Formats: sequence, C-alpha cells, structure tokens
Amino acid sequence: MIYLDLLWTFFKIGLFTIGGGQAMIPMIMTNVVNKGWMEYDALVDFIAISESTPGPFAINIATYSGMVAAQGAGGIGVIGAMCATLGVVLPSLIIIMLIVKIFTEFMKKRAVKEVFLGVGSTVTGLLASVWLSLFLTLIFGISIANYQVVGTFTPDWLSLILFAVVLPISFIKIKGKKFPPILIVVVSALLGLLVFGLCDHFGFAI
Amino acid sequence: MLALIEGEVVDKKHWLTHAELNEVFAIAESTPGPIAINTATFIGAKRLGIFGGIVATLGVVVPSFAIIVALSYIIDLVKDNKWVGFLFRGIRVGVLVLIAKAVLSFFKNMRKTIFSFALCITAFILVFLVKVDVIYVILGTIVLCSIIVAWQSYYRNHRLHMIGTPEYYNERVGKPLEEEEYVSDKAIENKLVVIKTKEEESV
Repeated sequence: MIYLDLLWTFFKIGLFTIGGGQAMIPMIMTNVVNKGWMEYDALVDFIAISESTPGPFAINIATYSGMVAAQGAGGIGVIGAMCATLGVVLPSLIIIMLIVKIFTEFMKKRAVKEVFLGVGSTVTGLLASVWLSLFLTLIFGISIANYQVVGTFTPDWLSLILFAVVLPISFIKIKGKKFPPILIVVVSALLGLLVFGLCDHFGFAI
Repeated sequence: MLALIEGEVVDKKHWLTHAELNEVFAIAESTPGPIAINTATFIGAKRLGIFGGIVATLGVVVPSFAIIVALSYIIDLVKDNKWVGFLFRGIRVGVLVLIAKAVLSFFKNMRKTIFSFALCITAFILVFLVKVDVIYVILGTIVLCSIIVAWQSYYRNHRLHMIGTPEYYNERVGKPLEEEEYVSDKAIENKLVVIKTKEEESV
C-alpha cells in the first residue's frame, strides 16, 4: 500500500526532524529517491519551490512528495499528499501534546538540551554530505556509490559560475535582515534563464 | 513566520504574553518536528487542550497543502517547456546556495568542541561514503548523547557528594553543612564563592 508506506515514511521523517525544516533535507533526499518515488532532479527543483512558497517547508515538501509518489504508483495524488502531510505532522502533534500536558519541565532540563545540541552537530554533517553529493551531481555529473565514483565526468561550468555569482549575493543583508530564500531562488532562476537562454540562442553547447 | 505568529498571538489576540511565547519558541525549537507546526500545536493545546492543538495544526497545514496541490498540477503542465527547463537549471544552482547556507547556519549554532566536530565528521562519512540511512545516524546520535549525558550527570553527582561531605566543609570553614545545603549543586557553588570571598577578606 503506497498510502501506508507514505504515512510511515513521513512519520519517521517528522519524528527525526530536529532543529527546523532544513534538518529534513538529508532524510527526504535519501528516503524519497531511494524508494523511487521521485527523481533526484525533480526533488532538487522542488526543494527550491518549497523554500519559496508560503507555509512551512516541511509541509510543502511532504505534500508534493506524497502527491508525486501516489501518482507514480497509480494511486490518487491528493490522497497520497494527505497521507504524507499527516505523517509529517503527527509526531509533532503527539509529542507537543505530551509536553504541554506532562513534560513542560522536562524540556527545560539541561540533559535534553545537551542531546539536541549533539543532534545539531550530526545534522551539520548530514547537510554537508547532502550538499557535496548535490554539488558533484549538478556540476560534474558524478556521484558516489559503493565507495566508487559513478557516472561520466561532464563538468557544467556555466552552473558553477552561476553558483559562484549567487553565493556572494545571498550574503547581502537587506535593511539589516538576512537575504530571504525566495529571493535566492528568484535571482538564480532569472540568471539561469538569461545565461542558458542566451547560450541556447547563440548555439553554444550547454 | 515566527514574527507573524508573534504579531497575531501576542499583539492582536492576547493569547500569550511575550515571555510565554518566547518559552514556547524555545520548546518548539528543541522538539522533533518542524518548528512552525510545533509552535502552532503548542499554542493551540495550551489554550484549548487536545482539540485546540489539532485545530491550530490544521490551520497552519491547510493553506500550504492547498497551494502545493495546485502548484503540482501547474508543474505537470509546464515541465517539458524548453524555457522552463532553463529556469529550473538556474533554480538547481539556487538550491545549492540554499543548502550551503543551511550548512553554514547549522555550523554557526553548533557547539565548537572536539566531540561536536567528531559527531559532525562521522555523520558526514557515514552518509556520504558508507550510505547509512540518515534516520539511523540521527537515532545513533540521540542514543550516544543520552548515554554521555547520563554518565556525566552521574559523575557530577558523585563529585558533588565528595565536595559536600561535612569533613570537607569542616576543613574549609570549620562548621558542618546544614542538610539542605548539599542537596543542589547551586547551593555548593554559592557556598564556595562565599568561602573564596571570606578568604580574600582575611588576606
């Protein structure tokens, strides 16, 4: 049953998302792609869309993954989306209810904070690993499997230059506030349209 | 998102005070699950019990759910267009930037100890090279940290007991401790400060 599978997978993901929605990215990347629910490229595109649509990142990405997965398995997309969203929300719902009723003092304990700080360090490593995999795949067309390099080395210099341009831009502060994620997506989308479109127009190989 | 919640809940509806809301944020950040959902559930549950929690969560989930379902149909329509393809090649680079920034912000919040770096590097190697399931890596971290924290607190209590023995205090200030004074480590720390200042005064 694709629906139950979605519910259970996203329940696990929701349960282990510690420290905000972005901590979910490594889990989503591995689970959704490994189960064949979505292709790597489509998922990467959708991470950008989730970051730039209103609403919590976690909900957006769960809804879309559920939709695509259910459609891919021949089911009804919206039901799949509901299952995935419910799955990602349920752990929070249960845990927070317990905390409100019973454990308010427990959460203030030093020991709990220490454990979560430790998980924060792990998530840093996980995100770095996801980033490096993505970088290798997008820019050089290669990935790592069974301790070996897989795929042919096809460098995409245009994307690399684009990355080198957008990264510094994203550190600009607007009126003392951080550069919003949606602007990062918009800037890179427009630059991509411009650069790749021009190359295509003048017949450069891209 | 959090600023929006503050405006609505504190300033408009007066459901919580600023201090209470800050406490809710602190708990929402350090519980599993997306922070926005945790905050909504917490505020709802505090006001109205289980039912309130469910309703508040539904409220925060439904708009994004509807938007994404609509969006997914649009994506299906346009995904084979050549220009949309160029747009998305740009957007993928944007994701690279977004995740790079996420790594940086997690790194900033990380405690800079050898143990933290060891956890970080181990997690990186396990997932990047060995391809262990991410969930097991996080679960392993929780177990490991819990064991270490439990061991630390045992060690601390043990040490505390030794410092707190009446003999120890007889040596320092010449009078035995009251029973309540060596219950918490705060009390001991305060006592030690007092002793130090007394020593300084006498010198």
